[in-house]
Amino acid sequence: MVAVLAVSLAAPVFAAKWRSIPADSSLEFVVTFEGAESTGKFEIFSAELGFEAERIDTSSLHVVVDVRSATMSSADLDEAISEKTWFDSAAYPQADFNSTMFRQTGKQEFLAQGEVSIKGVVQELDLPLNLSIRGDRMELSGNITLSRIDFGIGTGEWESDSSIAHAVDVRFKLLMQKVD
Amino acid sequence: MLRNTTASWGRISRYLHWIMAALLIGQVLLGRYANALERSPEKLNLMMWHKSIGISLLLLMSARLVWAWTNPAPSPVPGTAAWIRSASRLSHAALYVLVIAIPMSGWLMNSAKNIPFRLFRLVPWPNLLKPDAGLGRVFESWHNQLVTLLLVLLCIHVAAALWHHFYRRDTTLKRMLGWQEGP
Repeated sequence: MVAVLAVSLAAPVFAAKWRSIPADSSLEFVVTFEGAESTGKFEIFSAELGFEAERIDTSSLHVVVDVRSATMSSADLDEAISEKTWFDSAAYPQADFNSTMFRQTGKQEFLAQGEVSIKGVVQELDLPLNLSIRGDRMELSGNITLSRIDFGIGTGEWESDSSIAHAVDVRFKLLMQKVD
Repeated sequence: MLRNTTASWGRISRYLHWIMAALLIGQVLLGRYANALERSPEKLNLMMWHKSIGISLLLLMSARLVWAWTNPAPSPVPGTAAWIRSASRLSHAALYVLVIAIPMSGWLMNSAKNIPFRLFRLVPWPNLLKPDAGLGRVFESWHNQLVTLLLVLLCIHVAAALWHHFYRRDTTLKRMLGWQEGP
Protein backbone atom coordinates (compact mmCIF):
# COMPACT_ATOMS: atom_id res chain seq x y z
CA MET A 1 0.00 0.00 0.00
CA VAL A 2 2.76 2.43 0.98
CA ALA A 3 4.78 1.27 -2.05
CA VAL A 4 1.86 1.95 -4.41
CA LEU A 5 1.43 5.40 -2.89
CA ALA A 6 5.15 6.11 -3.26
CA VAL A 7 5.06 5.04 -6.93
CA SER A 8 2.02 7.20 -7.73
CA LEU A 9 3.60 10.20 -6.01
CA ALA A 10 6.90 9.72 -7.76
CA ALA A 11 5.52 9.21 -11.28
CA PRO A 12 4.40 12.54 -12.78
CA VAL A 13 0.73 12.47 -13.83
CA PHE A 14 -0.03 14.56 -16.90
CA ALA A 15 -3.67 15.37 -17.37
CA ALA A 16 -4.95 14.43 -20.82
CA LYS A 17 -5.80 17.45 -22.95
CA TRP A 18 -9.20 17.69 -24.58
CA ARG A 19 -10.33 20.32 -27.08
CA SER A 20 -13.82 21.21 -28.33
CA ILE A 21 -14.78 20.23 -31.89
CA PRO A 22 -16.24 23.44 -33.37
CA ALA A 23 -18.71 21.73 -35.72
CA ASP A 24 -20.23 19.66 -32.89
CA SER A 25 -20.20 22.22 -30.11
CA SER A 26 -22.60 25.00 -29.23
CA LEU A 27 -22.48 27.98 -26.90
CA GLU A 28 -25.81 29.78 -26.61
CA PHE A 29 -27.27 32.61 -24.59
CA VAL A 30 -30.92 33.36 -23.89
CA VAL A 31 -32.01 36.98 -23.51
CA THR A 32 -35.39 38.17 -22.28
CA PHE A 33 -36.50 41.13 -24.41
CA GLU A 34 -39.73 42.91 -23.49
CA GLY A 35 -40.86 39.73 -21.78
CA ALA A 36 -40.05 37.53 -24.79
CA GLU A 37 -37.16 35.07 -24.89
CA SER A 38 -34.67 35.06 -27.72
CA THR A 39 -31.74 32.71 -28.17
CA GLY A 40 -28.40 33.79 -29.57
CA LYS A 41 -25.13 31.96 -29.98
CA PHE A 42 -21.41 32.46 -30.36
CA GLU A 43 -20.23 30.92 -33.59
CA ILE A 44 -16.52 31.05 -32.78
CA PHE A 45 -15.18 29.74 -29.48
CA SER A 46 -12.80 27.12 -28.17
CA ALA A 47 -12.70 25.12 -24.95
CA GLU A 48 -9.70 23.25 -23.66
CA LEU A 49 -9.90 20.84 -20.75
CA GLY A 50 -6.95 19.26 -19.01
CA PHE A 51 -8.51 16.25 -17.34
CA GLU A 52 -7.25 13.21 -15.45
CA ALA A 53 -9.84 10.92 -13.88
CA GLU A 54 -7.49 9.80 -11.09
CA ARG A 55 -6.48 13.34 -10.11
CA ILE A 56 -9.58 15.47 -10.68
CA ASP A 57 -8.15 18.39 -8.75
CA THR A 58 -5.37 18.84 -11.31
CA SER A 59 -7.96 19.39 -14.06
CA SER A 60 -8.36 22.78 -15.65
CA LEU A 61 -10.81 24.35 -18.06
CA HIS A 62 -10.04 27.23 -20.40
CA VAL A 63 -12.65 28.72 -22.71
CA VAL A 64 -12.02 31.49 -25.21
CA VAL A 65 -14.95 33.13 -26.99
CA ASP A 66 -14.88 35.48 -30.00
CA VAL A 67 -17.52 37.99 -28.93
CA ARG A 68 -17.73 39.39 -32.46
CA SER A 69 -19.17 36.04 -33.53
CA ALA A 70 -22.29 36.56 -31.39
CA THR A 71 -25.48 36.32 -33.43
CA MET A 72 -29.20 36.31 -32.66
CA SER A 73 -30.18 35.46 -36.25
CA SER A 74 -31.41 39.00 -36.68
CA ALA A 75 -29.56 41.76 -38.50
CA ASP A 76 -31.15 44.40 -36.24
CA LEU A 77 -30.30 42.62 -32.99
CA ASP A 78 -26.80 41.58 -34.11
CA GLU A 79 -25.94 45.17 -34.91
CA ALA A 80 -27.32 46.33 -31.56
CA ILE A 81 -25.43 43.86 -29.36
CA SER A 82 -22.05 44.73 -30.87
CA GLU A 83 -22.46 48.38 -29.89
CA LYS A 84 -20.59 50.22 -27.18
CA THR A 85 -23.40 50.08 -24.63
CA TRP A 86 -23.68 46.30 -25.11
CA PHE A 87 -20.79 43.93 -25.92
CA ASP A 88 -18.61 46.69 -27.41
CA SER A 89 -17.06 43.87 -29.38
CA ALA A 90 -14.72 46.20 -31.25
CA ALA A 91 -12.96 47.12 -28.01
CA TYR A 92 -13.45 43.77 -26.27
CA PRO A 93 -13.42 41.11 -28.98
CA GLN A 94 -12.68 38.25 -26.58
CA ALA A 95 -14.30 36.79 -23.50
CA ASP A 96 -12.83 33.92 -21.54
CA PHE A 97 -13.15 31.59 -18.59
CA ASN A 98 -10.21 30.09 -16.71
CA SER A 99 -10.65 27.65 -13.86
CA THR A 100 -8.53 27.78 -10.73
CA MET A 101 -10.14 24.83 -8.97
CA PHE A 102 -11.81 21.68 -10.25
CA ARG A 103 -13.65 18.96 -8.37
CA GLN A 104 -16.14 16.17 -8.80
CA THR A 105 -19.59 16.61 -7.25
CA GLY A 106 -21.49 13.61 -8.62
CA LYS A 107 -21.21 10.63 -10.93
CA GLN A 108 -20.99 12.81 -14.06
CA GLU A 109 -21.11 16.18 -12.32
CA PHE A 110 -18.15 18.43 -11.77
CA LEU A 111 -17.55 21.96 -10.64
CA ALA A 112 -15.01 24.28 -12.24
CA GLN A 113 -14.36 27.34 -10.11
CA GLY A 114 -12.56 30.20 -11.71
CA GLU A 115 -12.82 33.58 -13.34
CA VAL A 116 -14.85 34.75 -16.29
CA SER A 117 -13.80 37.85 -18.14
CA ILE A 118 -16.30 39.73 -20.32
CA LYS A 119 -16.02 43.29 -21.65
CA GLY A 120 -12.92 43.82 -19.56
CA VAL A 121 -14.64 42.87 -16.30
CA VAL A 122 -13.40 39.85 -14.35
CA GLN A 123 -15.84 38.02 -12.09
CA GLU A 124 -15.51 34.85 -10.06
CA LEU A 125 -17.63 32.05 -11.39
CA ASP A 126 -18.61 28.58 -10.18
CA LEU A 127 -19.38 26.60 -13.31
CA PRO A 128 -21.25 23.30 -12.86
CA LEU A 129 -20.44 20.78 -15.56
CA ASN A 130 -21.83 17.52 -16.82
CA LEU A 131 -19.00 15.42 -18.23
CA SER A 132 -19.10 12.00 -19.82
CA ILE A 133 -16.42 10.18 -21.77
CA ARG A 134 -17.31 7.78 -24.55
CA GLY A 135 -14.17 6.24 -25.97
CA ASP A 136 -12.09 9.04 -27.46
CA ARG A 137 -14.89 11.58 -27.25
CA MET A 138 -16.08 13.60 -24.28
CA GLU A 139 -19.42 15.35 -23.90
CA LEU A 140 -19.18 18.47 -21.77
CA SER A 141 -22.32 20.45 -21.05
CA GLY A 142 -23.86 22.84 -18.59
CA ASN A 143 -25.67 26.09 -18.10
CA ILE A 144 -25.25 29.11 -15.91
CA THR A 145 -27.17 32.33 -15.39
CA LEU A 146 -25.12 35.49 -15.57
CA SER A 147 -26.23 39.02 -14.82
CA ARG A 148 -25.34 41.26 -17.73
CA ILE A 149 -25.15 44.27 -15.48
CA ASP A 150 -22.19 42.70 -13.60
CA PHE A 151 -20.15 43.12 -16.77
CA GLY A 152 -21.42 46.55 -17.77
CA ILE A 153 -23.41 45.08 -20.64
CA GLY A 154 -26.40 47.35 -21.34
CA THR A 155 -25.43 50.58 -19.64
CA GLY A 156 -27.07 53.97 -19.27
CA GLU A 157 -30.71 53.91 -20.36
CA TRP A 158 -30.53 50.10 -20.64
CA GLU A 159 -29.52 49.58 -17.02
CA SER A 160 -33.04 48.76 -15.85
CA ASP A 161 -34.19 45.16 -15.71
CA SER A 162 -37.53 45.87 -17.35
CA SER A 163 -36.80 46.30 -21.04
CA ILE A 164 -34.01 43.76 -21.46
CA ALA A 165 -33.66 41.56 -18.39
CA HIS A 166 -30.44 41.39 -16.41
CA ALA A 167 -30.45 37.61 -16.19
CA VAL A 168 -28.96 35.91 -19.24
CA ASP A 169 -28.96 32.15 -19.43
CA VAL A 170 -25.76 30.78 -20.93
CA ARG A 171 -25.71 27.15 -22.02
CA PHE A 172 -23.16 25.02 -23.75
CA LYS A 173 -22.97 21.56 -25.22
CA LEU A 174 -19.47 20.64 -26.33
CA LEU A 175 -18.05 17.60 -28.01
CA MET A 176 -14.41 17.30 -27.04
CA GLN A 177 -11.65 15.21 -28.53
CA LYS A 178 -8.28 14.27 -27.10
CA VAL A 179 -5.33 16.21 -28.40
CA ASP A 180 -1.68 15.60 -27.67
CA MET B 1 -80.55 46.54 -31.39
CA LEU B 2 -77.54 44.24 -31.59
CA ARG B 3 -77.76 42.82 -35.10
CA ASN B 4 -78.08 44.46 -38.49
CA THR B 5 -81.45 44.82 -40.16
CA THR B 6 -82.23 45.62 -43.79
CA ALA B 7 -82.34 49.28 -42.92
CA SER B 8 -79.90 49.76 -40.06
CA TRP B 9 -76.57 48.75 -38.52
CA GLY B 10 -76.81 46.81 -35.29
CA ARG B 11 -74.86 47.87 -32.24
CA ILE B 12 -72.10 45.27 -32.75
CA SER B 13 -71.34 46.44 -36.28
CA ARG B 14 -71.34 50.06 -35.23
CA TYR B 15 -69.13 49.57 -32.19
CA LEU B 16 -66.68 47.41 -34.12
CA HIS B 17 -66.51 50.10 -36.80
CA TRP B 18 -65.76 53.04 -34.54
CA ILE B 19 -63.49 51.22 -32.09
CA MET B 20 -61.42 49.87 -34.93
CA ALA B 21 -61.35 53.26 -36.65
CA ALA B 22 -59.90 54.81 -33.49
CA LEU B 23 -57.39 51.97 -33.05
CA LEU B 24 -56.30 52.21 -36.67
CA ILE B 25 -55.62 55.93 -36.51
CA GLY B 26 -53.79 55.43 -33.23
CA GLN B 27 -51.72 52.64 -34.78
CA VAL B 28 -50.62 54.76 -37.73
CA LEU B 29 -49.51 57.54 -35.38
CA LEU B 30 -47.87 55.13 -32.91
CA GLY B 31 -46.08 53.21 -35.64
CA ARG B 32 -44.72 56.32 -37.35
CA TYR B 33 -43.61 57.87 -34.04
CA ALA B 34 -41.95 54.76 -32.64
CA ASN B 35 -40.22 53.96 -35.91
CA ALA B 36 -38.60 57.39 -35.96
CA LEU B 37 -37.07 56.94 -32.49
CA GLU B 38 -33.49 55.90 -31.93
CA ARG B 39 -33.00 52.44 -30.46
CA SER B 40 -33.94 52.75 -26.78
CA PRO B 41 -36.03 51.04 -24.08
CA GLU B 42 -38.83 53.49 -24.95
CA LYS B 43 -38.75 52.46 -28.60
CA LEU B 44 -38.80 48.75 -27.71
CA ASN B 45 -41.73 49.28 -25.40
CA LEU B 46 -43.75 51.36 -27.88
CA MET B 47 -43.07 48.81 -30.61
CA MET B 48 -44.33 46.04 -28.32
CA TRP B 49 -47.57 48.02 -27.95
CA HIS B 50 -47.74 48.76 -31.68
CA LYS B 51 -47.33 45.08 -32.55
CA SER B 52 -49.75 43.97 -29.83
CA ILE B 53 -52.48 46.39 -30.94
CA GLY B 54 -51.77 45.44 -34.55
CA ILE B 55 -52.34 41.75 -33.91
CA SER B 56 -55.43 42.62 -31.88
CA LEU B 57 -56.76 44.51 -34.93
CA LEU B 58 -56.01 41.47 -37.09
CA LEU B 59 -58.03 39.28 -34.75
CA LEU B 60 -60.85 41.85 -34.47
CA MET B 61 -61.00 42.20 -38.24
CA SER B 62 -61.20 38.44 -38.64
CA ALA B 63 -64.07 38.39 -36.16
CA ARG B 64 -65.67 41.24 -38.08
CA LEU B 65 -65.41 39.30 -41.34
CA VAL B 66 -67.26 36.40 -39.77
CA TRP B 67 -69.85 38.84 -38.42
CA ALA B 68 -70.26 40.43 -41.86
CA TRP B 69 -70.89 37.05 -43.50
CA THR B 70 -73.56 36.10 -40.99
CA ASN B 71 -75.06 39.58 -40.72
CA PRO B 72 -75.59 41.15 -44.13
CA ALA B 73 -75.12 44.89 -44.33
CA PRO B 74 -78.28 47.00 -44.47
CA SER B 75 -79.56 47.75 -47.97
CA PRO B 76 -78.25 50.93 -49.53
CA VAL B 77 -80.35 53.99 -48.74
CA PRO B 78 -83.30 54.07 -51.22
CA GLY B 79 -82.54 56.07 -54.36
CA THR B 80 -78.81 55.35 -54.34
CA ALA B 81 -77.39 55.20 -57.86
CA ALA B 82 -75.80 52.01 -59.12
CA TRP B 83 -72.33 53.56 -59.45
CA ILE B 84 -72.41 54.74 -55.82
CA ARG B 85 -73.36 51.26 -54.70
CA SER B 86 -70.47 49.72 -56.67
CA ALA B 87 -67.98 52.30 -55.42
CA SER B 88 -68.99 51.69 -51.83
CA ARG B 89 -68.78 47.89 -52.16
CA LEU B 90 -65.34 48.16 -53.76
CA SER B 91 -63.86 50.64 -51.32
CA HIS B 92 -65.23 48.79 -48.30
CA ALA B 93 -63.83 45.50 -49.58
CA ALA B 94 -60.48 47.21 -50.10
CA LEU B 95 -60.57 48.52 -46.53
CA TYR B 96 -61.28 45.04 -45.18
CA VAL B 97 -58.38 43.61 -47.21
CA LEU B 98 -55.98 46.35 -46.05
CA VAL B 99 -56.88 46.03 -42.38
CA ILE B 100 -55.98 42.33 -42.65
CA ALA B 101 -52.94 42.73 -44.94
CA ILE B 102 -51.26 45.48 -42.92
CA PRO B 103 -50.90 43.59 -39.61
CA MET B 104 -50.09 40.42 -41.60
CA SER B 105 -47.21 42.21 -43.31
CA GLY B 106 -46.07 43.46 -39.92
CA TRP B 107 -46.19 39.94 -38.48
CA LEU B 108 -44.24 38.62 -41.46
CA MET B 109 -41.68 41.42 -41.11
CA ASN B 110 -41.21 40.73 -37.40
CA SER B 111 -40.79 37.02 -38.08
CA ALA B 112 -38.22 37.55 -40.83
CA LYS B 113 -36.29 40.05 -38.70
CA ASN B 114 -36.47 37.61 -35.80
CA ILE B 115 -37.37 40.21 -33.19
CA PRO B 116 -38.62 38.58 -29.98
CA PHE B 117 -42.28 39.43 -29.34
CA ARG B 118 -44.95 38.51 -26.80
CA LEU B 119 -48.47 39.87 -27.31
CA PHE B 120 -48.87 42.50 -24.57
CA ARG B 121 -45.76 40.93 -22.99
CA LEU B 122 -47.91 37.93 -22.08
CA VAL B 123 -48.65 35.62 -25.01
CA PRO B 124 -45.65 34.19 -26.89
CA TRP B 125 -46.38 34.94 -30.54
CA PRO B 126 -45.16 32.45 -33.19
CA ASN B 127 -42.90 33.39 -36.08
CA LEU B 128 -44.33 32.75 -39.53
CA LEU B 129 -41.02 32.00 -41.20
CA LYS B 130 -37.33 31.42 -40.58
CA PRO B 131 -35.11 34.48 -40.03
CA ASP B 132 -34.32 36.15 -43.35
CA ALA B 133 -32.89 39.66 -43.47
CA GLY B 134 -33.80 40.14 -47.14
CA LEU B 135 -37.43 39.16 -46.65
CA GLY B 136 -37.49 41.35 -43.55
CA ARG B 137 -36.78 44.38 -45.72
CA VAL B 138 -39.35 43.30 -48.31
CA PHE B 139 -42.13 42.95 -45.73
CA GLU B 140 -41.14 46.24 -44.13
CA SER B 141 -41.59 47.99 -47.44
CA TRP B 142 -44.98 46.27 -48.00
CA HIS B 143 -46.07 47.29 -44.50
CA ASN B 144 -45.23 50.95 -45.15
CA GLN B 145 -46.76 51.08 -48.62
CA LEU B 146 -49.97 49.37 -47.54
CA VAL B 147 -50.35 51.94 -44.76
CA THR B 148 -50.02 54.75 -47.30
CA LEU B 149 -52.69 53.05 -49.41
CA LEU B 150 -54.92 52.77 -46.34
CA LEU B 151 -54.57 56.47 -45.58
CA VAL B 152 -55.59 57.35 -49.16
CA LEU B 153 -58.59 55.04 -48.93
CA LEU B 154 -59.53 56.43 -45.52
CA CYS B 155 -59.58 59.97 -46.93
CA ILE B 156 -61.93 58.79 -49.68
CA HIS B 157 -64.05 56.88 -47.13
CA VAL B 158 -64.39 59.90 -44.80
CA ALA B 159 -64.98 62.31 -47.68
CA ALA B 160 -67.69 60.01 -49.09
CA ALA B 161 -69.39 59.73 -45.69
CA LEU B 162 -69.43 63.51 -45.32
CA TRP B 163 -70.69 63.87 -48.93
CA HIS B 164 -73.60 61.54 -48.17
CA HIS B 165 -74.37 63.45 -45.00
CA PHE B 166 -74.03 67.09 -46.02
CA TYR B 167 -74.57 67.03 -49.78
CA ARG B 168 -76.95 64.15 -50.43
CA ARG B 169 -78.45 64.62 -46.97
CA ASP B 170 -79.19 60.89 -46.74
CA THR B 171 -79.00 58.58 -43.71
CA THR B 172 -75.74 56.79 -44.64
CA LEU B 173 -73.61 58.37 -41.92
CA LYS B 174 -76.51 58.60 -39.48
CA ARG B 175 -76.97 54.84 -39.70
CA MET B 176 -73.35 54.18 -38.73
CA LEU B 177 -73.62 56.70 -35.92
CA GLY B 178 -76.82 55.06 -34.74
CA TRP B 179 -78.76 58.32 -35.01
CA GLN B 180 -81.84 57.09 -36.81
CA GLU B 181 -84.84 55.58 -35.02
CA GLY B 182 -86.46 52.21 -35.41
CA PRO B 183 -85.58 49.05 -37.35
